[in-house]
Amino acid sequence: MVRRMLIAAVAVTLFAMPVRAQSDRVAVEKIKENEAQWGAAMVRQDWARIEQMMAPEFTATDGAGKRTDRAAYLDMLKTGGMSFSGLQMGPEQVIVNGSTAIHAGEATMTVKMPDGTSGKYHVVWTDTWVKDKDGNWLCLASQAVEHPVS
Amino acid sequence: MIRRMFLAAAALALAAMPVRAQTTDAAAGDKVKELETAWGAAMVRGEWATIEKMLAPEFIGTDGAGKRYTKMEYLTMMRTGGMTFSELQAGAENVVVSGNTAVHMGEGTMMVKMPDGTSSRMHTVWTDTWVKGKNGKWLCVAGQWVDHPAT
Repeated sequence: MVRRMLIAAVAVTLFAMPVRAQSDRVAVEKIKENEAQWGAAMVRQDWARIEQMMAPEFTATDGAGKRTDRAAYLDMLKTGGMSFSGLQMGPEQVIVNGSTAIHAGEATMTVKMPDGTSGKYHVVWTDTWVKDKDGNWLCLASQAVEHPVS
Repeated sequence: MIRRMFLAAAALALAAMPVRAQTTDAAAGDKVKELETAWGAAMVRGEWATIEKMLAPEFIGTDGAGKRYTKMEYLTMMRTGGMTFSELQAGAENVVVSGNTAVHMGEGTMMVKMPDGTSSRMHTVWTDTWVKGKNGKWLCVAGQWVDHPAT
């Protein structure tokens, strides 16, 4: 009986492992998809799409160490007069731990400023995503650093 | 009867809200703040083993130049990089807790002595993500920071 229970326990463990691995793979793909959509939405100026992906308590931190909450971040995008183009996504890594996912990504893009000047920037970020009760992944925090591309 | 059930449900919901806030979010926020304070103190003392215990195996760190570090690389840099830290002054901090995830947004100023003997006062701003494991222990899975000379 004990042996049978042990075999059953081992079998459960073996079955459970691929299920968890599969669940993580699904989460990784979903986060990568969200990040790609975030970038595309910036280029299209589709701020509503970005808003959908942000948790209410979202906080962004830029390369100068300045913090921006969800409302201020969206306001900056909507009324700041910047536009983005030539987005090229770079290497990315996703770490999933239960209902938490970290996206460590980078990209290069051209940013046109309100005064008409343009610059090409390389951005490196760490985004924290959490899965809500409905199964949606929402971005809770982001810290990024940007440097001009020479 | 139905109305009484609704009232009872409402009373339960109202009673549960502060409990969740106190025992989960507030307690988690305090725990993460405590861990961050211990991290800073460990840096000043050069106690890398203390920091190692706080980092998840999959930890990924990112510095102000956009350079990424694995757990091993981060610890190696701290242990063998030849830098020392002193006069740490913690600044504003905020913790956002969502389930078993806590994001610590903090800042601090400290003196950093470089391997060549030069020292400078740096202001660092970071976003650290902590995850609570099944054993109730909080581990840092990611951190990105940026530092600038303090004025």
